[in-house]
Amino acid sequence: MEPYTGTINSGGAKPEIKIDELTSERVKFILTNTDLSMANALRRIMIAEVATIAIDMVEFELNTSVLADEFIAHRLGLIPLDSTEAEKIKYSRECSCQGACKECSVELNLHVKCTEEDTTKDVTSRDLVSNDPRVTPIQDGLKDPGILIAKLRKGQEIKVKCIAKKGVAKEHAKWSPCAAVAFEYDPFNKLRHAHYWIEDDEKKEWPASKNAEKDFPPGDDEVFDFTAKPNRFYFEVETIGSMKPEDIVMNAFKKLLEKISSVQMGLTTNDVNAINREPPREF
Amino acid sequence: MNAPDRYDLFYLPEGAKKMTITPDPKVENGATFDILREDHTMGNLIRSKLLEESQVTFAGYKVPHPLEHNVVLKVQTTLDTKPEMMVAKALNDLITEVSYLKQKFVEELGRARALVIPREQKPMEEQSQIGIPPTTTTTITTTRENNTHTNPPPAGSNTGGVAVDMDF
Repeated sequence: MEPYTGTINSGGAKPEIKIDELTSERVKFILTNTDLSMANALRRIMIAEVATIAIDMVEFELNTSVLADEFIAHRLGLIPLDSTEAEKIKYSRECSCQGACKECSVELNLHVKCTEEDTTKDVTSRDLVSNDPRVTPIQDGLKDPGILIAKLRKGQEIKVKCIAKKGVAKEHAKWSPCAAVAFEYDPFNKLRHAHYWIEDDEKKEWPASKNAEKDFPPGDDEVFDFTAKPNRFYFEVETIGSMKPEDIVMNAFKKLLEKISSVQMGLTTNDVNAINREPPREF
Repeated sequence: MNAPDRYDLFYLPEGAKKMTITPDPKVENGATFDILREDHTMGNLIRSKLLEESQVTFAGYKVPHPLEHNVVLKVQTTLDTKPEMMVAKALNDLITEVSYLKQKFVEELGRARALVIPREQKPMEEQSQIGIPPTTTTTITTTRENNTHTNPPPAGSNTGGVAVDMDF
């Protein structure tokens, strides 16, 4: 690997990442020796710019349930679909087809009718039939009952065709792969970025967070360092199930590189002669 | 109707220039960079990277209007360089830093997965199917500082937590 030659942050140390916990639903890691803006960019991208697949269009053939079409369509949109292969699917706006094709969309069908006499029938995400085995509603083992979409009484029926597309959460939150991204720095508030509202005792009323165990407590007579900058960031990324938590982080890094490169391209295509010589607009 | 496309906030319109550079008419070596379809993620990142440079005398950014998805970056530099050059350097440095972090994350993932397997009860093949090859930590650790508080020394390495930092 190439030695790190970027600008050296925070006292000359190289940036580091340490994974503290990795399970199927969450990854906890500590990012050190980098700037707050880098940590925040990573956080923002994980929440809003990692591409996943979600139902985007719903065609109703039949809906005799008590719920309105748009209500069901909205619920369908929020169902997490397996997005591990999202990279291989095109954005439909970049696809050469009109509307939706195999390259840029996945079709899921739902057809449920209640025939039971004295109980209601649950319509769940398990009733969705996908035409692409890579993109199916997520399921946590065989015992998982699925996500409830509607309940039907005897004789009621729902028959819909759903078109799932690739997208990012900037467009609609249903495309977010993250249930939560916990982000913390300076758990002891040494930098005084937080101002605690207290009644009597700050220590009692504001117990230290779990991350404090991994941080360095201030000394009793430590003087406030007003030049100090945050350089240790605690992340906890929790997935909604559409992709693995570590994939969210990996894809976020890729997306961040893509974004920087696109700005870089924008800069290099600005050749010197093309630079706008008009006075700038009011700042 | 006249509603803008939902993807308008991140998708550069056909024919639009990603970045326009306008030299400042009054301030020497000052320039304004209009970056289309970016937000605080990139604005703040570039700004803070620029501020790490001693040749940059001013760097600031703003998102002029919440419904227009553009960022305006203002940069002033010392006379021995140019704002465009400093922004180019900042972007280069950012790419280096992010690539480095990404690589570090892949390495850490290899380490974490090795520890996680008994808990997850999944075979190695299944664990590493997302296109990240199992990393060979041994070759990498010798070229960079061995962070003592994180990685246990990889098998076969003789560094033993001591910084072996010749390239840097």
